[in-house]
Amino acid sequence: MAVTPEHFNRRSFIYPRLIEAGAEFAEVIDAAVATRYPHDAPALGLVDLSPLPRTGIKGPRALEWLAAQGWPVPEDNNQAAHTESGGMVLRLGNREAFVLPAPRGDGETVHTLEQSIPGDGVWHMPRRDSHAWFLLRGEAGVDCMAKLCGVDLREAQFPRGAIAQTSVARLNTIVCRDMAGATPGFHLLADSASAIWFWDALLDAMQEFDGGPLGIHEID
Amino acid sequence: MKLMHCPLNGWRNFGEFVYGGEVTLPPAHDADPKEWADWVFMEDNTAGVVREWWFHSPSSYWFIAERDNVRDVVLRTYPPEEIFQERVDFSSEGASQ
Amino acid sequence: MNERLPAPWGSLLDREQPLTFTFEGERVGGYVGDTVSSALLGRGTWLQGRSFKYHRPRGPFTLVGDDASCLVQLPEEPNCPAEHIAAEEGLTVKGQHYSGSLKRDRARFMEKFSRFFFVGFYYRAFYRPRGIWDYWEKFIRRAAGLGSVNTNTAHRYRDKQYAFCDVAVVGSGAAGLSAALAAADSGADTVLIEREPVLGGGLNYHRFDAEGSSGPALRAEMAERAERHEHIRVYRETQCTGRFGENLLALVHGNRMTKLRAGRVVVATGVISQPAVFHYNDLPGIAAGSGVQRLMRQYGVKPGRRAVCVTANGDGYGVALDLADAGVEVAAVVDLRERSGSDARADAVRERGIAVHPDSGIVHAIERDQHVAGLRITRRRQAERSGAPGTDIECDLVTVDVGATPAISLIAHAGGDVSYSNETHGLTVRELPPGMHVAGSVAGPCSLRAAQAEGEAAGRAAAAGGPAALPVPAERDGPCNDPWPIFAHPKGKEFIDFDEDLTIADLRNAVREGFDSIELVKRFSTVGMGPSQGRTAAVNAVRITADQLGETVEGARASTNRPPAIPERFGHLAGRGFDPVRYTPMHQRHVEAGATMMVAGAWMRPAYYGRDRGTAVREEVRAVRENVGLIDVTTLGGLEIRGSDAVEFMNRMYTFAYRKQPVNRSRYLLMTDDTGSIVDDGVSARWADDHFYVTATTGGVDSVYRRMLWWNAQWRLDVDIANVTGAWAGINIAGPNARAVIEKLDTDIDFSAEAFPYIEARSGHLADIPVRVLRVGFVGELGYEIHCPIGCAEALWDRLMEAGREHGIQPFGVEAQRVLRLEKGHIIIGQDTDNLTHPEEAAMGWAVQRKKPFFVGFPALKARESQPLTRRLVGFRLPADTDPLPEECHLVIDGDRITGRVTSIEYSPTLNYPIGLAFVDPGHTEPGTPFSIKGSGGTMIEAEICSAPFFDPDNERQNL
Repeated sequence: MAVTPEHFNRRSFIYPRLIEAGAEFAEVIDAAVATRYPHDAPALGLVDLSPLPRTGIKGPRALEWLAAQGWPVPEDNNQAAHTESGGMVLRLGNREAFVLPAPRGDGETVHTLEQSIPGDGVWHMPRRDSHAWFLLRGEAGVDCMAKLCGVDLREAQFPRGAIAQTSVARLNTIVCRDMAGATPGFHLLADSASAIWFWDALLDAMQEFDGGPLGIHEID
Repeated sequence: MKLMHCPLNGWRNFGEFVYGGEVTLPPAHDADPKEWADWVFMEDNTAGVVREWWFHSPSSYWFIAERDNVRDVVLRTYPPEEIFQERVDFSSEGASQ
Repeated sequence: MNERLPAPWGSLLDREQPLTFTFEGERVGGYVGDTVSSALLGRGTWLQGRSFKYHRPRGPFTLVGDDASCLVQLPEEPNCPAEHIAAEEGLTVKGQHYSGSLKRDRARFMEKFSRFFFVGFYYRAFYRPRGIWDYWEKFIRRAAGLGSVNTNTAHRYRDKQYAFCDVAVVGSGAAGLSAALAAADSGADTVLIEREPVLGGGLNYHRFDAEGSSGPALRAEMAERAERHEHIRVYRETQCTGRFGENLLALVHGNRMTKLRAGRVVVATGVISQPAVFHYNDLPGIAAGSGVQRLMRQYGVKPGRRAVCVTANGDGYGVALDLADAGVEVAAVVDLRERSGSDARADAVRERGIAVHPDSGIVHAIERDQHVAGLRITRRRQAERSGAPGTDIECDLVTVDVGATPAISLIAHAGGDVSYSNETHGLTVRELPPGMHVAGSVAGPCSLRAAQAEGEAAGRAAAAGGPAALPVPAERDGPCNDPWPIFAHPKGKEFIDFDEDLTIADLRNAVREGFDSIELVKRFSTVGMGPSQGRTAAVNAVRITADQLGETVEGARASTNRPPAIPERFGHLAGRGFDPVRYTPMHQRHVEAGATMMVAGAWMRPAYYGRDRGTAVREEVRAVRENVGLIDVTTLGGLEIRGSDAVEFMNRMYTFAYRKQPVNRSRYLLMTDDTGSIVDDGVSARWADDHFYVTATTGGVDSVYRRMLWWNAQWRLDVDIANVTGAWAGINIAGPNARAVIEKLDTDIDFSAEAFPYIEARSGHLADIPVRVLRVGFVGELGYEIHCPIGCAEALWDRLMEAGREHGIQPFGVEAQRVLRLEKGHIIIGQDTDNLTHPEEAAMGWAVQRKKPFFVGFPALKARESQPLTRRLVGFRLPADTDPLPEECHLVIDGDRITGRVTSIEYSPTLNYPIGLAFVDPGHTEPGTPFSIKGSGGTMIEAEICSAPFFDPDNERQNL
């Protein structure tokens, strides 16, 4: 039987859009993720990673604790570091980090990390629910983002692992340049309640670059 | 659009910031009502270099900017810890409430 | 159609692709590459517009749209400069500013009355009596023949984009190309902006030397290199309409506005040719020399049969040579200077036997068939004498090269200083704004070689972030400006401003009226306020104003130059609107259930389920009171307050006391601001000694969160404040059967009345979904407010609906909730309170803990409470048959005094009469007291104060 988002308690914030686009789904941990679409992978793709685990920690001891668990903590604010399996730790400030698994990797690890957040100065942030997670992937990503965002995201100014907490299409968004793969990519983390609106605005901006939705199995 | 330097996020369009008023130290919690009224309602309205609160909305970060409002130039921005270094306690803390 | 000049004339034309469009109903032929204007000129049609006041015939002057003489009407858009509209097959173009036809304008007689249309005519004639302008405006507008807006125009997709570069070069003439290449060669990421379809600016058409060879050669070499340079991005057909803070340039091209953020800007925008001012200087056929050169070189148009070249520098001789090369008879070169100076082009003109008249002045132009037919010239110092004799030279083309003004818009936008210089005899850049460089003729008259050298220097300096330098005028050897190319005529009609038909006398009169600065002259006379924004008027206006004032023109400024430099379409400014909409995870379910949605801040919420509001709300209220209902409260704000100082922080931010709040218990929250006024309310649930979860109102949460962060930036308590609004969804299940429904789901929470009584809070799981459950009673029934991760909320909603099916569970919307809460007398912040309401006024003094040393607003509250109360919120009821009901904000009247207002009013389906909340005189709040409300149309409605809650006053139902 085909996997459908409504089969799970946890659903992507935009799953009706994915079904409309004809997505095929696969079960990843506890939710359905769009794996491919009935068309060839577009040159500029938008991947919905929202159903995947991710977490945040915040508090005076948050970064110290995270490092003690063996996770790479970036030296500077607004920098990301990658884990061995391709996940990322996004350092948003002196007391806050956002942890993403690799799109096709260590979701369970992040899930486990989330369960072990101790409190007492190391507080859990429900980032899997507060933020939708999209990956904009393709050579035209920088030009496309320039239609939506006022921050200079050219690679010389915004290299791999750089983070901008900024406004994208007038929505507060965390933008992080992907650290894996040869193709440039931007991770976009934004208010989950605005996810449908954001998805539509991104696809609209991507049109002139022949952009479209991309499944996680289509990420090379 | 003009740019402003956020101590946490660097140079950003002004549209990402929210103005938070002059930096003024609140009176003691039990100060005279006149002093409180002055703090709540009166602005210095200085022409020249002023110290202002600004909020970077996408990262929810408050900081302080020194701005020359005659030349409309931001001279310096810095974290609030530069000014507010000590924990504020109220002497007769109502420990039982 | 006249024959076009053969190649290489007409470099922009694709002669393989002829096309036809219509102008004023006539078919006009042209080629791909033509503009509407050039194609018309190609068939000899100079009459392309009318002036808007006197309806004088007008043709193009600068040929680049810097003047606004040729505004045309396209099917979907008025006021388009014909010089910038590409000719397209099948396009329909009409003229503007006429009554009848462009050729035969019935309103041309207006000119005969010009002495009545003295400067300031409209201000004075329509100043009194009041309303007279409103009456006459439509006639005046119709007579002016303004373009018309097609309100049925289809929506066109336009958008915006940011772009970034190290160096932006505006203008791609010799200076701009040199600057871009120098900057890019230094490794700078460079953007080159050109408003025309090809790079090169004047190199494409200007004759820099007698042979006319240096321009094309240089262009070929530099433009090609720029196009191929890896560090240069070229924006062609792009208008730079403004420079904003920190070098943000607005670029308009095609359907897009690009907001280019440049580290440095090199302005190489060149100059705008200026008209000479003489009687009938506005006739079609009188054009700038540079414009005529463009016509021939780029569009292959032979601009006339017999030409007179008026000049005050060497450029006019170059124009004469070009005209002669193109087969136009050059009747004379009329030089305003005493001696022509040394210029190889002047020598070449003489060698060709063309007559040169030095030290000349212009008496007037001669009109025939709405076109120039000749020029009367005389000795310069005699030209202004009344009835001056002179020589009439017959011609059908007059070229003008008496000076130019730098295109300084961008420099002015950035705050650079520009004023008149007696050295250059024109407006001159005196001081550059930071981050901006100049090169070429925009910095004053200069030779080709100087432009190149300055471009290179500016490009290098910009790339290196070095200082910008202004060139020294004396070393630049450029075409000079005539200091006074102005020839007054007894009959006037020497036009300074073509847009507004303003003459020398109009400006002198404005000064005589007492408007003694250029800014005032501008506002009174409207000089420079038309569509060309003074580009061809400002310099002469400055000269005449200074002269009339008897002041030196040195240092005089033109009126302030603001963005946009040229008109922008609203569509470009609007781009695509970004208005984020927030949907709750159950949105799809609401729509499927037939909900009528409403906007609540950025959120969409169900107002009620079904089409008919009255029935739906009644049914939904009944379901909650008698059975069980379900409402989506995801839009509630949620904040986590965590840390060893959490309770201290709660005590400082909210009016109540929280130290004794037990774990797993909830408590009401009320927040006041610095003035002691109520700003928000909600509920807190304490999960641990150091952990509170608090809700906030949908509209208030962002400012509550911001305020909390602000205070703690100063207090520095050990507390972490996190806004988790977007992470938690909320579902409120309420009604006598609520427990029966919820207990059907798998859960690790004991929902029994004994284990989980009213006001308690629990966390656990419901249908395998992690939840936080608060027993709170906004609607006053047995109810559970269930908070769960937003990603799982739709599943939970589905499970609750399934579980409730056998009870006939009813989803209810915001409207029913408003009725239900009003029946319980619960206030809504922002509706039953305003920005000045303090807790005592809202009858919420019980929510203020006065034994605390401090909370935000406490000092103000103490001061305000020492004053007598001026109003108080009370419940009231109306007779069941009251119709129409008073509305929110209707006034409470006591005799001749306004004592308050209605804040909420609803018909209660439970009680069967209307109930409400109102502010009233604090002296008369006893239940049973009658008072009057002034309803719609002034009718007085009698109401009666009653105690709230209106329903279930002892709150027994929520405690079940």
